[in-house]
Amino acid sequence: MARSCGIRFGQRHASLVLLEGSAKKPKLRAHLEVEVAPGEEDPLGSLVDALKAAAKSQKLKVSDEHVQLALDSGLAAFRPLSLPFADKAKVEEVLKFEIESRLPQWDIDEVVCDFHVRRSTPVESDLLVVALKKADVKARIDASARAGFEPHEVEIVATTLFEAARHAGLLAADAAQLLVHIGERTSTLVVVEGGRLASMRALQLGLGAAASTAEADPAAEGETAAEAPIAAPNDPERQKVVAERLTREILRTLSAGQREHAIAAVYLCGTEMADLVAFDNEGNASGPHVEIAGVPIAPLDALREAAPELSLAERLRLVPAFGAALHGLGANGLTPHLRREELRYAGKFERLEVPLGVLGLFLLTLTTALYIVDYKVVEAREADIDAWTKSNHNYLIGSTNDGTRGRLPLAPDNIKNYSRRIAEGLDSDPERTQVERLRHLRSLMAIEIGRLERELGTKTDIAPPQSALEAMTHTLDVIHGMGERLGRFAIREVRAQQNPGTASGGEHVQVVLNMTFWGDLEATRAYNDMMNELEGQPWTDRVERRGTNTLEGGGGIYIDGITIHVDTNRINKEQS
Amino acid sequence: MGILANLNSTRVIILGSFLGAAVMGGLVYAQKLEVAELDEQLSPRGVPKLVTELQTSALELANLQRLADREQFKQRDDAETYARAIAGNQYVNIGQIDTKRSDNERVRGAIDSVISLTPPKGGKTAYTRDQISNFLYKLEADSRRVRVTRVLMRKDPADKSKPHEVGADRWTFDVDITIRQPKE
Repeated sequence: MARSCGIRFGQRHASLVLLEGSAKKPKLRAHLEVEVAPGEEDPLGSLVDALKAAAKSQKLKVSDEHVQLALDSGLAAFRPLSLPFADKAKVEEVLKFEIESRLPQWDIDEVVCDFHVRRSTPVESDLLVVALKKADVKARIDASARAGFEPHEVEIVATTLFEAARHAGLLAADAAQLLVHIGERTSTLVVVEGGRLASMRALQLGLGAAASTAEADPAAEGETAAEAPIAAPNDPERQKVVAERLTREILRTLSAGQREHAIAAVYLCGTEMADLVAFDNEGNASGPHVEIAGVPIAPLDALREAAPELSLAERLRLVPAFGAALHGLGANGLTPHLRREELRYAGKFERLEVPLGVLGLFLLTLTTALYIVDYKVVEAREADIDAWTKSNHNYLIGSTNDGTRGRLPLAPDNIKNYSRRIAEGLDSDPERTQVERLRHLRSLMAIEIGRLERELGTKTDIAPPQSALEAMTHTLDVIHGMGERLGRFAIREVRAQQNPGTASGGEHVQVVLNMTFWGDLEATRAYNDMMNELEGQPWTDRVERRGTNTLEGGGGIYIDGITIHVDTNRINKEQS
Repeated sequence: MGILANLNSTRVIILGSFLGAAVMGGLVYAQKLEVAELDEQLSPRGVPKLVTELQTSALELANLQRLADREQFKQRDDAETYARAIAGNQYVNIGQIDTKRSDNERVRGAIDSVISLTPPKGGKTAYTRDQISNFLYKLEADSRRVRVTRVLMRKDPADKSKPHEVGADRWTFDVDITIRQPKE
């Protein structure tokens, strides 16, 4: 549900109204009134402390976007202004320039100006300009913020009266009304004619203040009210004087000319002024001035429906805050806008805009710098891999530049061409990274190696049979190596047979020799030496000695069937 | 479109810079990953190892290519032709030989093709040791697939010398070569 908090900051009195609902049917959820005693050195500061304490005691929390602040109308200067156009954007552009000459007492740069359209046609507009010193506005904004209620928008009491009266249905279209708010030091008079704003006046005339005026009535254009001496608030005589002065000012307003409709009623709110008029709880007037110049005085009871539980006096004191809160709920009888220029409301996000912008730009710069640095690093790394690729190509295929001869002169064309392509960095294999290209080259070579191994029969899990030739050669080599120790001998027959492995023994080669040894005892010794030598070889499984036969006529022996069992796998192991 | 209506230059900068920073952050993250991957690739177990493997493979391939270039016997069905070609080699000079082929499965999963090589019947049967030795040597040396699995060298049958006599250097042979291949 929509919420809106209206706050009125007076000289010694502050009021707060918290509404929920809509501008047409608001409900009062909370209200506060605080007041500081006269004679305080810093009434505004004391008011802030009091408001803060009261809000805290009621645990009242309102977000900044829902707070509307109403300032004392006495801070403002009102000036009528006619312009030959009605476009609001154009009015905003020229407003200060046009109004500068009419505010000689202020530096225009130190003033914030707002305007309200009184009458307009497509080619002309009649405006009421409201000007306040920025310092005054800022001081109240800061004060409100210190109290825990940073206002989203700021207006003056005069515009809140208009909105409150409009909400209460007091602004008849065929009549004029005078809205009066009596404050501690300032009284505000707003003339509404035919439901439209006609004029505003702020009188430095309150309970406890002497009278002077500032008004925007075309007939009474003049200076902003001068500071007035503060009278004792409980001084009955003084209050009577003030009441009389106010009566005269009301009468003066009622009798002013240049109106289409006569003022039919005076609606009063704010602090009760018994010397002027008093209202009972039903709104019946009594006192010395129940009517002025025949115009009745009635209460501006805008909170009658929203807060019937409050007394009429309370409701009348809360009217400015209520009107401000109505603006927060979207009421748009008038659209006051005093938080502008450097006083413009800045929400949490707005306040973070500049730091966020700086942070964003910093992050963007940082990430861009990191990207550039990393880009260079990637380039360098890729160049390193490229160097490896080129070096690899030179090793494999060779380079015509420096005359290097490669290791693969007989390589198939697909290997040569692919190696050349990736070494030259040509974009012929964009789907692979540099490393993937090298891996692809390796796979091409593996395919070729596999093909050759299959063709050559070297790639198989099945071991080839042992070589009878190898076994025989090694056996004969041992015999040859014995040299003179064997004396004179002859090999008459040699057989070598590869035998596959069986359950009783592994694969081996059986070498069978038929030999002759010449000599007497030497022959036998030579035979034994040879057998011992063969037996001592690491690749010999066993030897089978045979019986010797004496040569015909003596002079030697011959042996048939000398058998040596050789495992050639051991020969290979020994060699490796 | 309240957001667009409230856009001012500062908010445009904030929006643009944060969006840009987010995009750039993503790119930087992706590039960091790429740098890490490249660093990993350039580590000793990355590209250097890969190139080393490539060069090792190149040596292996070159070696195989040389072997293939020298290989005389490339087809199983050419075994007899291969043996005859060796017998006719200028350093062997044995000439015609008889061949007899038999296939058997002595090892599980492999077929042994055994070709018996003997001097031709009715022809020259005696050779010098050099001829026979060279013949045996080249049978194995010219092919990685061929193994000499049986050798018989004995004196020329025409040589009737007794054990105590030294006969002439004339020998005859009976040789088996085996080509073992996986069973298809």
